[in-house]
Amino acid sequence: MSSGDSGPSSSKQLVQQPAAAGRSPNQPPLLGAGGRKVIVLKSGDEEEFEVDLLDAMQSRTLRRAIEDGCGDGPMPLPNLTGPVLAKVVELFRRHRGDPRWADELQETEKEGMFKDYAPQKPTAEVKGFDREFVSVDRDALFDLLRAANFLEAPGLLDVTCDAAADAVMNMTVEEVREYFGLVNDYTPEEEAALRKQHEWAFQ
Amino acid sequence: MLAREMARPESYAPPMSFSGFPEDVQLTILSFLRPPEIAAFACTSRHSAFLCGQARLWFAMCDRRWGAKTVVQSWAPGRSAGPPFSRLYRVLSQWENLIGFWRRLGRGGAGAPSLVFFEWGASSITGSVVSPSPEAGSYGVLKVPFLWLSLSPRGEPVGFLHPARRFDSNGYLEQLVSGSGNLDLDLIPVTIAFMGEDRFVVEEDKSFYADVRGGGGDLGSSDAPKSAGETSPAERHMLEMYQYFANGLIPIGDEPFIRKQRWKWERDGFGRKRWQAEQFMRIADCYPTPSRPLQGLWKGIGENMRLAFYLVTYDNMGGVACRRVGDASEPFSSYSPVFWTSSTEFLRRPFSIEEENIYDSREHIGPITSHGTGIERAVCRVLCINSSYDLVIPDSSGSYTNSQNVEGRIWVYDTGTFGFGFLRNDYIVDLQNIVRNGCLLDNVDFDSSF
Repeated sequence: MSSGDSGPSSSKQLVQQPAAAGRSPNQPPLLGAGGRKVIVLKSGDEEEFEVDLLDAMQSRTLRRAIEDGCGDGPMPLPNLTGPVLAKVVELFRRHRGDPRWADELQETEKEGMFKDYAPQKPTAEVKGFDREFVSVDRDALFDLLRAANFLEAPGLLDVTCDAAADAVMNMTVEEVREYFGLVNDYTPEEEAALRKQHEWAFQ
Repeated sequence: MLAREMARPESYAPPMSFSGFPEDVQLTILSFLRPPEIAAFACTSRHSAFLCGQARLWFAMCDRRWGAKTVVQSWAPGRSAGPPFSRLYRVLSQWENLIGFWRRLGRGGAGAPSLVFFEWGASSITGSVVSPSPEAGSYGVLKVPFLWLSLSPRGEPVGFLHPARRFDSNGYLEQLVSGSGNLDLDLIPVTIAFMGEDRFVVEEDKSFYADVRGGGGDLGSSDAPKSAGETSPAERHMLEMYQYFANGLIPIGDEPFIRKQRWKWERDGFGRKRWQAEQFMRIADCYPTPSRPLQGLWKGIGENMRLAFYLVTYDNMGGVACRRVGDASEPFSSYSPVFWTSSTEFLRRPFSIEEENIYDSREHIGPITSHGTGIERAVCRVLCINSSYDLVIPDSSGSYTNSQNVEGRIWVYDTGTFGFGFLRNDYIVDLQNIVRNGCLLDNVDFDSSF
């Protein structure tokens, strides 16, 4: 797995962690270094990740948990592994303020001579990150898809679903079946008829 | 099994197949596919075929592709079930090619502007004739919709064209666009046929009258169109028009009626003897690119204080030419360039004293409203140009025989726009964008141009 040089902060960096005891659920979550509001996510294999509160809001699951006051201590996510969570946290950080996932579209910074002609798109940097993010093998991609589904994170879901769709582009029917693990339950006659019907697509 | 890069705890039981994901995720994956892949996917299994037939999927595909430009679920206004998304997908993948600038070919008639702009509406694609505002010294652009394309309440693609395009009677247009007045029986149902990428024909849809009448039953009472707040007056008007036909309030498909309509057009002086098919040709390269910074469709106020449209094009030899477009008042304007040059070798800072003088001694022709306010702009590059023959900007001083008279300059500003002028006078015509982010700038409404 390519974790990049600016990976997420690991548990070792979480030095100042005030005791959660005595805090009411309505109190603001923990303050990290530099006064940022952060929460801590804990993977199924006991790895901890610090994530900016606003970044975590990209996941509806996490948002619900935070709003329910679960953001004080490390938040256990037993069905996500450390490596998966590490990638996810990094994606949340990179997608910060991305117009595709931002709840309120902010006036994006426009620069340069041709600013008026470029539609509001994510920056090339973010797109490059997204591409890199999903250049993993099939099983790893399915792990990320599963995480996206569990976390209900639209940005993560879009990036991973796009990659899965991309993977089957130009594949034959047999190859698509194999990639997605689908079982052919057509009779040979039915399948032949269907293929004939969709002949235009196979040229 | 492939070598794993990610270690998993014992409890981890991943879905190793597509069917292990919830249907929402499955449909999201499929929504990134194009129709050929959808067809291939449908052949993989029965459940796959079921998924591929889901309206939700085709909605997501439409929304992913066009959702930023239009409200896909509001197409087919008046249809309570919403638009049939798989058909909408097919229709829009054709019609989206219309978006942008086109030139109407032939039969322009005196004074008939030929520049046409297609844009997305909430539930339609609208074609408008675009012309410089007749108001002197203004950057205003007059936009008159004449063609609406959407889906009918039955989910069929429909188009209506207004043949008159009467620019001189604003009250009439106002009524047409607001839909407030009487129903406009001059609208013609039309179809669009593409001839390659860059040309299309609008033809009368002769089958429309019969079709509408035959299938009008499912319309019911349509007194409460869906999401009326979101539909534009023009769209509402189109819907009303459709329902008017469909509900049989007028004898549809009745030849005498149609003849009467045509007679009415003739009598009122609308259109020609009868409306004929119209052809349109795409104006390619309407926007500048980093390697072609001058390219595109621009507008500028000339010496006569009239706004004009200019199209700057590059040829393969590296030359640049600028022609006026969008008004037929100068019959040869589309042939002879306003200026041209065979080399785009820019002069850069520091400029020579002579060049500084040429620029400094000039007056920018600006809109009357902001006269004398002095807009901050710095010249970053200069290009030598030639005016074409005598046609350029009408000038009372007359003769253009002197060779110095054809010489001119383009001044590229640090703002990315540019101006041009000729040595024979002391003006600079500053060019501005006509469109930004797919929207016409300085659009003058009919309301305000009383």
